[in-house]
Amino acid sequence: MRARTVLAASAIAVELAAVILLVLFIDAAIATLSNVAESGIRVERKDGVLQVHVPARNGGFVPVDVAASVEIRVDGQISSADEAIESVPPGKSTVLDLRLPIPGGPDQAEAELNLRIEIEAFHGLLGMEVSGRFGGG
Amino acid sequence: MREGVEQGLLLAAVYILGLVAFPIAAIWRAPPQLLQALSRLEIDPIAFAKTLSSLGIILAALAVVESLSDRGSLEWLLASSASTLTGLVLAVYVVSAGQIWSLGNPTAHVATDGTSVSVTLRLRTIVLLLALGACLRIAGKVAEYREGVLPPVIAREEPRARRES
Repeated sequence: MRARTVLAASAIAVELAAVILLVLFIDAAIATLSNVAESGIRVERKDGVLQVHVPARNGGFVPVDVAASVEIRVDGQISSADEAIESVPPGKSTVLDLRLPIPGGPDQAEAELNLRIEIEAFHGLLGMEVSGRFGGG
Repeated sequence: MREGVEQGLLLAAVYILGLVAFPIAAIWRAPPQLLQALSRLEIDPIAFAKTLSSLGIILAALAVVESLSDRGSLEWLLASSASTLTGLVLAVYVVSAGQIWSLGNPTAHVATDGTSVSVTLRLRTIVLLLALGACLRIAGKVAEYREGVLPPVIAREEPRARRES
C-alpha cells in the first residue's frame, strides 16, 4: 500500500476520533452539569459543620468522573473538603457529600464560600470545571 | 472546464456560505439578549464571526488556487498545505471558543455583586489530535508531491535501453 494512502487514511481516522470524542464529552458534561443545576446543591449548617450535597446524574453516553471541592474562608481562616467519584456510568446517579468544619471567627457574615465541580471523561483527557465564589464582599 | 476546477469552486462556495454568510446572518438575526449574554461570558460574538469570515475567505481562495494548480506540483503542495493549516487554525479557534491562545482550554467568567462563576473547558487533547491529523495530512501531500517529482525507474533506464539498441 502506498505511504500517502496510509497517511491520508490515518489523518481522516485521527480527525474523526477527535470529533467523536469532543461530541461525546460535550454531551456528557452538559447533561451532567444541567442535572446538577436542576437537582440543586444543598448546603446545611449543623453543629459548626457545613454539609454540602452535590447530586449528579450522568446524562451522557460515556462514563464520567465527577469531583467536587468546597472551601470556606472566615477572617483569613480556611477550611476545605473535597470528594471525587470515578467512572459514573451513563444514566446512573451519585451524590457527593462534603463536610467541613466552619472556622470560628468574630464576623461569620463575611464568610466566603468557594465551590468547584469538575467533570472529566476518557480518563481525564477531556474535562470541564465550574467554580463559583459566593459571599466575601 | 479543467478537471478539478469545478470541485474547487464548489468547495470555495461552501466555505463562503458556511464561514462567511452564515456567521454574518446569525449575528444579524440573533436576539440582543443572546449577544449580551455572550458578551458577559467574555465571548465577543462579532469578533468571533469576523474571524470565521476571514478564515473562510482564505480557505475559499486556497481551494481555488489548489484546484487550478496541477495535482502533485509545488503550487498544489503549498496551496493544499496552507489550506490544511488554515483549517487547523479554524478548528482550534472554534474549540477554544475564540480564545485561540488558550489552545483548547477556554474560560468564561461571570461576576455579579459578591458572586462569581467561571467555567473552564479542558479540550487540549482535541487540539493535539487535530494537529496530529493535520500533520499526517500534510505528510501525505508531501509524499504525493515527491512521487510526482521523482522520475519513475523505467524513465531513467529508457535512454540506456535506446543506446543499446
